[in-house]
Amino acid sequence: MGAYFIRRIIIAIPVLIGLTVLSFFIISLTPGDPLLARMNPEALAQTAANPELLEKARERFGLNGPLPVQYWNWLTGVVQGDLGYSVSTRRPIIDEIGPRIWPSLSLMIAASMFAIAFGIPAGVIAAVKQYGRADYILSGVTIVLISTPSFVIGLLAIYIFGVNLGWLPVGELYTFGKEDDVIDRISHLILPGLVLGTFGAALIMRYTRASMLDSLGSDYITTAKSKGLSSRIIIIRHGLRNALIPIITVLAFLMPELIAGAVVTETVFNWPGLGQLSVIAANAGDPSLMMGIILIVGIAVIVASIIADFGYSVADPRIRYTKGS
Amino acid sequence: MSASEGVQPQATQVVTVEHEGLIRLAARRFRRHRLAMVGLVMLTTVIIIAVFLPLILPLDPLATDYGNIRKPPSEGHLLGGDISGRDVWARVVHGARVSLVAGFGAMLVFVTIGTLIGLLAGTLGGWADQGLMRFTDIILAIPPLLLIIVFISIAGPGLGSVITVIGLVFWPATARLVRGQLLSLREAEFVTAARVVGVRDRHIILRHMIPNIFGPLTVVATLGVASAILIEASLSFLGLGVRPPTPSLGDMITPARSPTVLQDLIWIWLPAGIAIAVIVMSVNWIGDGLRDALDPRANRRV
Repeated sequence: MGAYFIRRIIIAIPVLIGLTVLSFFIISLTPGDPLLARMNPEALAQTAANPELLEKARERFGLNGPLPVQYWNWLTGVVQGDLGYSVSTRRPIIDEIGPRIWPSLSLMIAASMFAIAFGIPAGVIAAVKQYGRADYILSGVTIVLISTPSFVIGLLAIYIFGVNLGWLPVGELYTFGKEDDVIDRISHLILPGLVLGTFGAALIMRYTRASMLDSLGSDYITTAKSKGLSSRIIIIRHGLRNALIPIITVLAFLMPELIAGAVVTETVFNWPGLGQLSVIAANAGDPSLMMGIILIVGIAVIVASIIADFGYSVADPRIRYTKGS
Repeated sequence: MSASEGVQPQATQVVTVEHEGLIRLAARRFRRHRLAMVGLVMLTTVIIIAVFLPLILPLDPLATDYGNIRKPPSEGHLLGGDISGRDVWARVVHGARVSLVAGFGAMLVFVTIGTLIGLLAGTLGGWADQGLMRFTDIILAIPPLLLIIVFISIAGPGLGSVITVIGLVFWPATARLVRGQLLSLREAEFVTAARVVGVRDRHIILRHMIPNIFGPLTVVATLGVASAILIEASLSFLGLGVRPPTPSLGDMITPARSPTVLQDLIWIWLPAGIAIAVIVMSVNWIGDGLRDALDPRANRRV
């Protein structure tokens, strides 16, 4: 177990290094003086008039050396939490990203909870009633949901539940002046969470259905049936438990999808998260800020995939032996 | 040994015959797939409307009619007018054109890149294979839409750069598929059989390997078209895609971010949303049908 886990982490290291190289490549595309993305704006303003000091600053950030040296200098800064400065807002990138992590994360947690809570039961029902009416309706609804762009679903949700029915707030983290009201915050989370989770719910439903059909067709289900167990116990204990194993992989695959969906959902709902920031950065033509987002998100995805593999190997002990070489 | 000599030529023969049979079998399975056929009819209709309708009818997506500003659907304007008085129906038709061009264009780019990288990794092996596959992992570690936004912010918006950038980000799935198929086919019994009886390498690749890669590749390419169309729409919605005045379905929905348009002028944005969903759905259904038809395991289920 330990050896498998360590091997899995070692495999991730080149990917992590590659991610930093890619991030460095992106930041090197920043227009204008590279010092803009590296130096405190106030200090830069003071040195800007003096070419000698400017040259010294370049020397200090290693900007005069060959590319590998520049990369190394940049990387040592990043490891210490210094992501540099945004070219467009002139603030430290870490200060732009930091306060937006929790809003994005809470939105993604709400979305995943909905996706799992809807997707797994719906998939089980569709599989048990294969080719029945429930199966056709659920499968039909999910394909419509997968094919409709998330911003259209978001706008329809705002149109129906926010504007016409007036049930839920349609944007921002909280109502102005109610920062500490937990109920208010949760009610703001519901609509964007549902919209962001829609794609995942449809995806999980499709995978659960396929996985359940596989597992319901197995010999041990026939055995359980001939033992005279109730169909409820057969479906849940024997069918679903084995069907859940491949679904863990879908959950890991879902994370990048959720982040990509957050770009659109956060923009539609005016949600101050990382997705909204990436659209702001792109519209402002700010590669330095984009780099910070890519780096943070990329690391999160790599860590999530390691955790998913780990969970997979706990759920299914056979994995550890077959993935050996 | 002497017994197997007599068997081998027969074995290759069987493989070839069976292969041609498989294509016919797949075609029959596809025709029987109800949703796939519905998708095919829907997509054909969309293509005919998007490509030929503007040639017959005067559908100008850019002409502004001051009498048609924010007007609901009427006889002269099937779907009414948008905030600048442009005909919504004409814009939907031209926007569908742009969507199709973006989807299929991006597909051509990523299938070409992915196949080349997959073939390189699969045939070179060793360090080249390892390096290329780790590179694929890095691309896969970043959510596609984010990476696309990064590239767009560098390349600038526009239909050409949207197609190129989607293609540059979507190839890893194809590369993995081609490499994986190549590796497993190299070890497949019918390839070994062909090699043993002295079939030339070129013939093995052309007759035995490419047809077997082609099936799953078609599925990945089709589903990729659907994703690419969704991405183009999202980018245009965010103001990072096709540049106005070129009509794009995503861009037509952007005004709905203002509460008045969202609430009271629903004909301005909803038709474009439905159009995207219809196109993507039909492509997805065709992709599902192709997968069921070309997946050898489907035999078991049917």
